[in-house]
Amino acid sequence: MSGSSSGSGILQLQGASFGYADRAVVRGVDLDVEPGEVVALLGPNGSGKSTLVRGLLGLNEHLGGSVRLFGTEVERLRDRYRLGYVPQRHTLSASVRATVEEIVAIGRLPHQGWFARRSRADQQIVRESLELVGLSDRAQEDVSTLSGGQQRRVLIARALAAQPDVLIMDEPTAGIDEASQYVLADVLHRLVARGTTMLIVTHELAALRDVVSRIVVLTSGRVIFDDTPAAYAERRAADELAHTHGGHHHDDELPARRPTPTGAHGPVDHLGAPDA
Amino acid sequence: MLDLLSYDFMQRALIAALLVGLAAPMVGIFLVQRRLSLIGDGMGHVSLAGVAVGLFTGNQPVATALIFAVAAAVLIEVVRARGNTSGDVALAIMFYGGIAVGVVLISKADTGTPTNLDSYLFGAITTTSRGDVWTFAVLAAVIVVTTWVLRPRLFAVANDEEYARATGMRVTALNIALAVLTAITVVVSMRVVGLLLISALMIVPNAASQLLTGSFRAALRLAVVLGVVASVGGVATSYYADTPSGGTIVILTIVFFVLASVLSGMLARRRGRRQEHLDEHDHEHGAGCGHPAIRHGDHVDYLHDGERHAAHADHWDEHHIVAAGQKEER
Repeated sequence: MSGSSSGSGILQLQGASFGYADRAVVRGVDLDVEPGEVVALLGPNGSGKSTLVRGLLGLNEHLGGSVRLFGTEVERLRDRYRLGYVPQRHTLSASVRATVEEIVAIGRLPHQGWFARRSRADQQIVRESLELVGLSDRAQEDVSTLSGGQQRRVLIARALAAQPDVLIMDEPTAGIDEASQYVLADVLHRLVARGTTMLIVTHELAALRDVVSRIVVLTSGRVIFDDTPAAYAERRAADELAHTHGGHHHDDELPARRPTPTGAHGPVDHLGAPDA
Repeated sequence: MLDLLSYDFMQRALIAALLVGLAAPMVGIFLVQRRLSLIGDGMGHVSLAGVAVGLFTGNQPVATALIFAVAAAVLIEVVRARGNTSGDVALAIMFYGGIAVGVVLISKADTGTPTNLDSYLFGAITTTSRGDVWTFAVLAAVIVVTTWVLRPRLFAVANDEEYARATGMRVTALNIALAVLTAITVVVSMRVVGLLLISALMIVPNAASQLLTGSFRAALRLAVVLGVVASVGGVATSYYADTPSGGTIVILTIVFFVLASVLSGMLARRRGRRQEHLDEHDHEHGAGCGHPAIRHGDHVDYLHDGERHAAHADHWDEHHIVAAGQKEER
């Protein structure tokens, strides 16, 4: 997947703001992502996680600061397929028949000229992408007959078929049953083994526990934590301790820790164990 | 069939029908995919105003209709792209305004007779002139070639607009291109099926083909075949039965749709019977799932409790193990 970026980082954000028209949802974000990193982007609902990645993808407005992708200013980036987007909901239209293969082949379009049709090389890459997500057997089936988890993997395969330099996933594990989550975790492990750089927006760190190499926490549109999973678990444990004993406060405590309106399903409650 | 071909006007009518039957479903499948099945109808309404302006000012009605339809197409996409709720009302005003202006202007035009209005609304294929056929042939060729070239991208945008945008595709331009193709199709088809019925020829063959196929590619092909058969067959039928061509064509497409529904229902029932004995399967076979994988023609079977399981749609089929000896006997 990687390769073509010339030594410079995948993402370089300095004081970046994103949002809608005149309203910034995410402000002053500094973030560097190097090739091979697997970054989990955590934060409560409405913290701006999706706005941040959608901003990188050109789906939300970039309102300020510097945003460089593969060493190029975001506005100047022409090969947008280098960002492999895996959307949050399955946004696939089910109004007409389309096979899994036909959907995944969409990922090849940025590499094809207007008059070109799928070449043998394109077919091969589509096949490999389907194999990577474990859907080779389903290539000829109508996507709408697949389960939610399988459709999620179709979207990952579509992104992979574009041969991106980074995969950007928006809540890949949301709303799919446990059995499918295991299959999905397997797929992510396979990608990690290949050295794929990933930026994963998620609520459920538990499902991705041994996949991520770095955790970034966003609250109210600002980055409040950026370190390894081990440091994150430590901080969470210390935070837990401070709260149960009451009174004793650390200055660097994670504000995100406090119960959110989403209650027990809050974002950062899954990595409670200090054994990480 | 031969006596039908001996008339010049019928030859022209059949050629026009062939072109329309080919172009309309090709464009229509993307409208179905984007859930815009009724947009062609609205463009037909606006085209009537264009026809009327042509008749009223003594210009070619086809040319003025084309201008109006294309302008409407661009406007519709702009309104849709803005995505505000009043957009829906704006479109309604545009569509009804189009038909109202059309009816009023045609009644005041020199050539304005009720028959004339009827011929545009419901099609009057036998009145197609030699010049008209040439114009339609060129326009139909433009539609077919452009749609074929844009097909992969139109499919991508209609399938997942957000993803298409994220990969750098020119989504707005492609949406406008589809709207303009729809507008041209409406105008090309107005003599054959009429402005009030054109949408049917774009949509119904696709609705029928969706019931019988499993891929976008196959669905598009079948829709084009059904469209051509309905269009040419409808014109031929209307000659012998002395009925208006537009209505006859659309009735034929609906007959196809009903037949397709019955057929797909029968196929589903047969499949259902065959699979009744299969258990629910809570395990998804895949590479490294622990069950031995066996390549079987174009797919992979997984050995599970002595049975070979193959993925099929949302269930697992049993592919029975046949010993080498038995195979020979069969």
